[in-house]
Amino acid sequence: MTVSADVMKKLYGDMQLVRHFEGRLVDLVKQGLAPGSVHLGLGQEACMAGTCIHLSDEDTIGATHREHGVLLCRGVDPGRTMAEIFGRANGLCKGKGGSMHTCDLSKGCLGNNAILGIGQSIINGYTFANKVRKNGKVGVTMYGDGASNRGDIHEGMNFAAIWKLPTIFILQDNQYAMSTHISKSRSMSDETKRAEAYGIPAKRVDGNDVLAVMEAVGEAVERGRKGEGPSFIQLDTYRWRGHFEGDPNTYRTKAEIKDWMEHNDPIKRFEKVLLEQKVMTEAEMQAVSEEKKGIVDAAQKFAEGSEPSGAKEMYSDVYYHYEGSDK
Amino acid sequence: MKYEFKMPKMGFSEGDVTVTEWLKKAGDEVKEGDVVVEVQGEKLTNELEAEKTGTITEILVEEGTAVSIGTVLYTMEVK
Repeated sequence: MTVSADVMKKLYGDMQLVRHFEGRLVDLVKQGLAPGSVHLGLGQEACMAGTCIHLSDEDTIGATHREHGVLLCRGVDPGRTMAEIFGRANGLCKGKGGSMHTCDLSKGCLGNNAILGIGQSIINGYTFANKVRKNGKVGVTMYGDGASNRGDIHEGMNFAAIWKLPTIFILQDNQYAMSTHISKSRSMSDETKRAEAYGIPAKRVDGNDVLAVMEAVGEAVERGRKGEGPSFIQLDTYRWRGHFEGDPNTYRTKAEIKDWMEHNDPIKRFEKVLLEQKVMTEAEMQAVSEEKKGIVDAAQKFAEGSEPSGAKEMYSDVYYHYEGSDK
Repeated sequence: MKYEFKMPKMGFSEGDVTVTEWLKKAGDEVKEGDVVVEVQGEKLTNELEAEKTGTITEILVEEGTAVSIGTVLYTMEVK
């Protein structure tokens, strides 16, 4: 696979933006600025950047409660995303969704969904419409190793397979479903066999290698756009933070987390590639990091300066008004 | 340089969190990552680690006391 320098720089920029944005949230959540619970995807940036690089605003992507990064990689406004996480009126969902229910439909981004294991059914609705309209658009559903054991996932795979829907199932296998390691919840580590059982082409790649993710997702997107049906991709990765911010992390060792952070950081690994292939210099990478930090500074300022979502919003967006329905 | 350690928000917990046990005392040297104090929220017991390396100068909350998010639990002189 040949990847242009511009695409590689975009991937790097996206990963740095997610890293800075979520890294900032670690501190801001501690200060009590985000109501409810916040789940971070630090360490999983390559999965998000390598997937979103292929999508347009007319495609659809739905993810879990750990996917602020998907929004950012899809080009959703960081300030309005941060404001939503803070429950502010200027947030993407007027502050009523919070961290776990943030979306931006104008970017085809169903965003975060805390109801795990149902995203593929929702995406199948979009991809069914795409198939009927023959518009060449695809739908991506991202879920984790915990959700992968839910029956809904299997129903979704079956429907996508029999109707040949352009649905792309992406399992971000970060090894822990809350506190349960995959060795305690699955009889096999290779999930491609499950997808293949439904006749869905399946691939398993290193989820911390952004170019490997991009290549695998690229093949799946192409298959979907050509009307050749669904695909499944397993991305092996690791979450650095607890299940949620404040999780005591007592189910794994500090040494295990440190080992992944030091030896399998997707950003550091990609920096090596960028240097080796002379795509970027260290100074250029530093400049990108500074630029993204600045974007997060501005996003934080915007969010902190926004008014909290008021009680009057409680009843807005609850009922849909159909034209003529009051007659 | 003086540093104040504040009670962090953890999980869904919006209410008070109780300081259950101090594992360090004033005058102790601590390294970043050392467990300093154990606290209990609505559903969680957490060991709060030092965020800096230095010497604890003052413990400000007694064991058994419930405090709100943002309350300073202890101060440090950071190296």
